[in-house]
Amino acid sequence: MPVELEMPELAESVIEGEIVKWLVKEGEHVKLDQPLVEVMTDKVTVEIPSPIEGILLKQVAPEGAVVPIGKPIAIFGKEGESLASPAPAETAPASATPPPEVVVGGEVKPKIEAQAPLDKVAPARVGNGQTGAPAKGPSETAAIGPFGRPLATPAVRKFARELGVDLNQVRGSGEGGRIQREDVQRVASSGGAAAGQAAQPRPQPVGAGAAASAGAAASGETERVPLRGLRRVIADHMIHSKHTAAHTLHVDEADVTELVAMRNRAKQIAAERGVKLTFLPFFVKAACAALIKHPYMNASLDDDKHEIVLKKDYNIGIAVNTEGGLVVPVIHNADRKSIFDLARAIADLAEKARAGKLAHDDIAGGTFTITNVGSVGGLFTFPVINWPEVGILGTHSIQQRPVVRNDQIVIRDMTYLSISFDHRVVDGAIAAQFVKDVAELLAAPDVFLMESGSW
Amino acid sequence: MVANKYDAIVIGGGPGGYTAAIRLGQLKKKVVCIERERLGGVCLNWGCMPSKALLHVGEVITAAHDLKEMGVEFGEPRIDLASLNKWKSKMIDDLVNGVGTLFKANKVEYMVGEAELINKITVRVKKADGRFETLVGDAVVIATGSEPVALPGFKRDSKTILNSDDAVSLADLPKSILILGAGVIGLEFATIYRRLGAEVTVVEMLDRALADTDLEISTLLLRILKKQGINVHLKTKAAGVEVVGSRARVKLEGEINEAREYDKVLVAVGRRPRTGDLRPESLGIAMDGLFIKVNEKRESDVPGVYAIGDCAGAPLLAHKAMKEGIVAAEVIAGLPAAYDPIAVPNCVYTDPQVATVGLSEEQAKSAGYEVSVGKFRLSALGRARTVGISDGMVKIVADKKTDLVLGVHIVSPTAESMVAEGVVALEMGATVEDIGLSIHPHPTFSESIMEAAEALHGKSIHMANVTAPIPTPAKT
Repeated sequence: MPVELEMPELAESVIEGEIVKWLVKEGEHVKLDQPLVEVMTDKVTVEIPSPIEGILLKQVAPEGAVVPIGKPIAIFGKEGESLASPAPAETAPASATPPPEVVVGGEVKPKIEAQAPLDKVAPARVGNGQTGAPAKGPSETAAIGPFGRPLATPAVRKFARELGVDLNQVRGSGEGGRIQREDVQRVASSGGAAAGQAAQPRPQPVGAGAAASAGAAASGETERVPLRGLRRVIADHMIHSKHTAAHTLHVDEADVTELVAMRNRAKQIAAERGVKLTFLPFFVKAACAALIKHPYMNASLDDDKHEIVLKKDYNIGIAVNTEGGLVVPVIHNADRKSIFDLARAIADLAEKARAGKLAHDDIAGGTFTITNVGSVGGLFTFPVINWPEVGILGTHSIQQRPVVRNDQIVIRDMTYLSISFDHRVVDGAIAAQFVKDVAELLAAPDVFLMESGSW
Repeated sequence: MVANKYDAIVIGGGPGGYTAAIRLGQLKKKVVCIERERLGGVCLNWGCMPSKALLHVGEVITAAHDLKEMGVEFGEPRIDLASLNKWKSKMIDDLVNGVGTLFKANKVEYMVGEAELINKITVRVKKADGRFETLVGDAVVIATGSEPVALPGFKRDSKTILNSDDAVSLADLPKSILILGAGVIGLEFATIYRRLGAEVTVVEMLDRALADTDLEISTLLLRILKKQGINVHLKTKAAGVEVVGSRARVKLEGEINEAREYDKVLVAVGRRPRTGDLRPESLGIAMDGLFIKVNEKRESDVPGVYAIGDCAGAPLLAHKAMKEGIVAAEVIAGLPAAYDPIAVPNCVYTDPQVATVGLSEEQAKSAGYEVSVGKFRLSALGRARTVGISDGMVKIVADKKTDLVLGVHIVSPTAESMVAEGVVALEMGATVEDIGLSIHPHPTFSESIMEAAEALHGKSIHMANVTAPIPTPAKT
């Protein structure tokens, strides 16, 4: 008898995963623990090993599909077994008197939940306070209505069609998992499930009306690239952050002449220890010190409980550009690490990020983020907050500029520091003071060293 | 020759076809609807409408007769068949003309003739005068409907051996009629002819009537029909017929094992899609048996060619065809429509009516649900008693785990209308509790749906509950 394989629980508070790549074709034999499918969650791709041995009868979820935890992704069977009927997601239109074999969606098959690789499962994040995001377990995934169809009213089903959203990929937030209009809207605006069946290119008669959308309006030569994988996750996160946090920008500058000198002196020593010393570890260190002084910058807002969660860990996310897009690996307890340790951790995480080998732990639990745009140049940037964090610090190129010191124009190594912060949690005065403190620490690294508790 | 160019060509003017054409017209498409017989198709001319008219006549006769018990007596009814048929024809003409008026109002062109598919965009129409006209359309909607299945050995002569088209035209009133098949059509005609005074016998090869209906419901219906003097013999087949004069001598095998004579024999063993004349497969259109295979948009595997209604798959019901007509029309107009009902209701116009939607208890079980069932009998319903009725029931089938309604099955007067509540419940994903908590007007037949819902949870007021008792609230 065929068994269903469900999307495994991939990590704490992860509610869905995107099928990136099937590693086994339909009809192929799969051994126990053989890598079966690549699934992406929160910018991390994990390989799911097969929890059973048998024939992969059907890939219920196609590549690009976003599947809630606990919903079927594949059907397995024994040698010689086949599926007598379409997979649940494709149940034939039910009739008043459907012959039993049509009602396969309602058929209760033994279910097997795939095991996420243990080393990739994030531990419970104590004190992380990310309660703003609904933590959903398998029991809270989209409910299946009569005939194995997603539980949604005719009007919601019509709405989903209009937006090109596949209801099988939508998690219902209503009573008993009912899919509401807002759920469809959410998936549509995240560009999510639509990827699987992006607007069918059928000729649109003139004046067809409702079908007009951003995509349809384009004329001339265009190329359509499905919004998938990391790009989709980024799009999702960015729009969520922009819609949620009250983004505000403040920019200051720092005189890092002494830091530059110090770093130049230390570079050689670092190299001898196998460490490539950049300025970033100093920025991380300074940010930690300023965060300790301004606890509301190292926080998140719990919208449900109307509470501000002050975090006692200083886990600094570092934005890393990769071929697929931006990822933010996290240096845990950055405040307790030496400059050299930070340099090593940054190099290590950046390397893993570019190789696509980040584990869920590597990107989870951040409390504050630094994005360094210095390598490109420019003046300064207005970064998007890595929600649910409260602030993100933009660091920029260090340039020699004429500045006035003691009534003299002198050449100093200068840089801009920008802070994009959630004005719901902190006001401009705190954010401005925070950046000023970072700037002062960077300006006087010797003072910083003397004040540092971890000397 | 310059062909006439359309946005859409609809082949067939039945409920599916005319609905598609009207919606296309509403969407400002240039559309033509081709019909070879009469606008309205089987539904208006030979099916739903005339049969319901005859049923109504029979119902009033029966009601008048039953009034005797309530102290009101009429004389024996005299049926003037010519007048009855004239009224029926007028009623049908009015309906057909109504469709024609709607066509005009929506700028739908109407053409009488025989359509032939030349290729996926070209339709040749043979008109009544023998001339041909060639039409070209961006889209073609096939809505050719269905026809009665003939039974080998029972050659239709429309006098003694009838199909449903003949039976509804009611050329004369038989004293006795044998109906072959205890499906929807067989049992409806059994009711019509019985009410008009005929001796009615129904034979069915299977061991049950209304094959896909909930067994408890169909069994109850048979018991009621037998009480009305309709003789139903299951596991019985008509092995052969001999027409002697104007009467038929039919050899029966099964529950009855002898030859019996009847004034008329009605063959009602089912309907089949009418796709043969059009030969869609010759255009490379994929078929599913005699049905045209279509997707959710009701488009065949040849892009631009659509099929709706009886020719596009079961169930063979007018309301399903109409919905499909709207879907196909909107898809053609570029709208994101799809045929995606959770369930299609089904009505049987016996006395009382049977109406069902969703899964029967047996279907739900074989689909793997842990099934819970709530029933309410009309004998406990005040409204039923006011019209002297005690036979009938409402049965709700639900998923025990989620309380979601899976099926609603009704044997009751006005079941045809009551079942709509079940349709909405299924489409909205209602739970049985939702139905039970909704106030139903009193006194009505619809209350029995609420009572059945409450009964499922052991909370029916007007009936001794057999299911789980109401949990008493814990004392605080």
